[in-house]
Amino acid sequence: MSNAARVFRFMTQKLLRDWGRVAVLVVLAALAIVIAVVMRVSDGGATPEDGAGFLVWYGLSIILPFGSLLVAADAFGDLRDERTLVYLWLRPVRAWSATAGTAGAALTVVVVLLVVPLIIAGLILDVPMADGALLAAVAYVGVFLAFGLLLSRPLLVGLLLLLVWENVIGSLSAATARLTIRSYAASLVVGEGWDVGTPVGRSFTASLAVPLAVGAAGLLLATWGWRRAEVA
Amino acid sequence: MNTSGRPGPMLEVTRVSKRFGDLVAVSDVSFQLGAGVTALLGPNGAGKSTMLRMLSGLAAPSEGTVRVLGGDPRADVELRRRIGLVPQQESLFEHLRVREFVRLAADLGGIADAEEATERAIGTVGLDPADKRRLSTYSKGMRQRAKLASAIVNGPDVLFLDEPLTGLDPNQRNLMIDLFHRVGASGRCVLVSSHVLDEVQRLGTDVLVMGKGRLLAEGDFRRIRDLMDDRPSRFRITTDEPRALAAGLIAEGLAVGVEIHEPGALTVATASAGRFASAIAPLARDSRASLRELRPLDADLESVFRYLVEGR
Repeated sequence: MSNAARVFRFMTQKLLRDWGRVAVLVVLAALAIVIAVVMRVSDGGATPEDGAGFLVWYGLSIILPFGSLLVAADAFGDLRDERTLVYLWLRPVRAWSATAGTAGAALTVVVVLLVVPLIIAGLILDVPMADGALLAAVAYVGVFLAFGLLLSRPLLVGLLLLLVWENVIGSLSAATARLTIRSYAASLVVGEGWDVGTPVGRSFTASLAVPLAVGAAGLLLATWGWRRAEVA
Repeated sequence: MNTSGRPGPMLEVTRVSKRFGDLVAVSDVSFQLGAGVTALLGPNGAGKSTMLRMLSGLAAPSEGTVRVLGGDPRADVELRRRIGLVPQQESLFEHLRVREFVRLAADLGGIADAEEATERAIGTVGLDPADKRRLSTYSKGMRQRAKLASAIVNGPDVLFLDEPLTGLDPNQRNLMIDLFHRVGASGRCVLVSSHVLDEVQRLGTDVLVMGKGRLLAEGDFRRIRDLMDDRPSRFRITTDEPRALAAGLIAEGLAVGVEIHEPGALTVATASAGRFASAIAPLARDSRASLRELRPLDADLESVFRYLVEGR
């Protein structure tokens, strides 16, 4: 087994041991399914456009980014706060092994707890959520993983990023929306001409490439941060 | 031996300083260490933990260079295989059992027979490899031993221990000190930090003394004491003729101060411990005094520490 796989296994166990966080994410994700069912069985049933509006707002704008923040920023952030990072850092583990293993663990937790329920909610509402939710998760996990290593208050900064950048600046115009992850993820979810309350319309290629590039950049940043970390 | 296989210092610290903003934690420190146990002594805030962090690669010096086994512990990831650290903080991976905690270190260290090494390391520190309890339930002493097991599981050539005896009961302390000596005697370099003089004295005679971020002294503390020329050495003498002996010592210029503080006992301050030691017996004979006890009062580590750190 490689060191990246060992770090992956350890971090996955550690992230899943935080029962409180897991419970919150499970409840929020279950709520998406419950609301999807209610919309589906309501009089006349929700149209796919209505469903996409709900899932872009609740799924891609709220639970996925904030859930990814809680998981990914805490992956390294918890170890740093608890002063246990030393037990990983002092081992002959290459920086990329540590960050790739940890990113894999955080992504796995986010996918299992949030992305899969959103895909199920999408199936109920005839909205193709898989690509958009998965790519958004990749981007957010990469960014917030780096925050956890590089910033002293990763949750606070991440929260500000999501509230100010993703929601406020991203909603100002179609031009500023290009700067948000949500816009690219939502573009993979909505159909032609749908109004989901979020500027969309990114090309298919850009919608795939930009979240992947953001996630990769976050991973590179985290790897750089691991190398230069001053471990207490 | 260093990484090149040639005999040489295992640790080389050259003009190392570490600053945190305006705070100078370590200032212009240089020393070299070879195999054996050395105590890193200093009061809280002396810079000991920062020095150990730099030696183990956890922190980069602001200035100067640190070499461990000839390599840079911060840049050379493979070198970490040969370094063990028991950090000062109590925190552990609380959700793991001791076996899982030590096994993780063994696995990440790339040990061939990780399972056997794990059992051996846990057994060495006196814990039970089959213990099902999680580390979160462990006492302070057990946590210290779990950290030590994790540090030694890969058989490091260099072992850094930051206040490792904190929280251990006397029996456990004895076991740990014996272990440090065994590791040191096997050709490895063991550097143990402590602010407790009694502990350090039991670790051996080689010390590095730090205070306010600076290296104040290094070497055998008894030799350091001898070099403290500006301070008289003190001896306690028990004799049946204290007054006659005191008068003789002053007359011969062997004492710069004599105190008779109980019947038959006197404390002598001398500027030359060597001359005093060779002259006291003939002088006692000439003074018709029989010596019952002659004991140096400040050839101990506490005296060195007080002098270097507190200036008294």
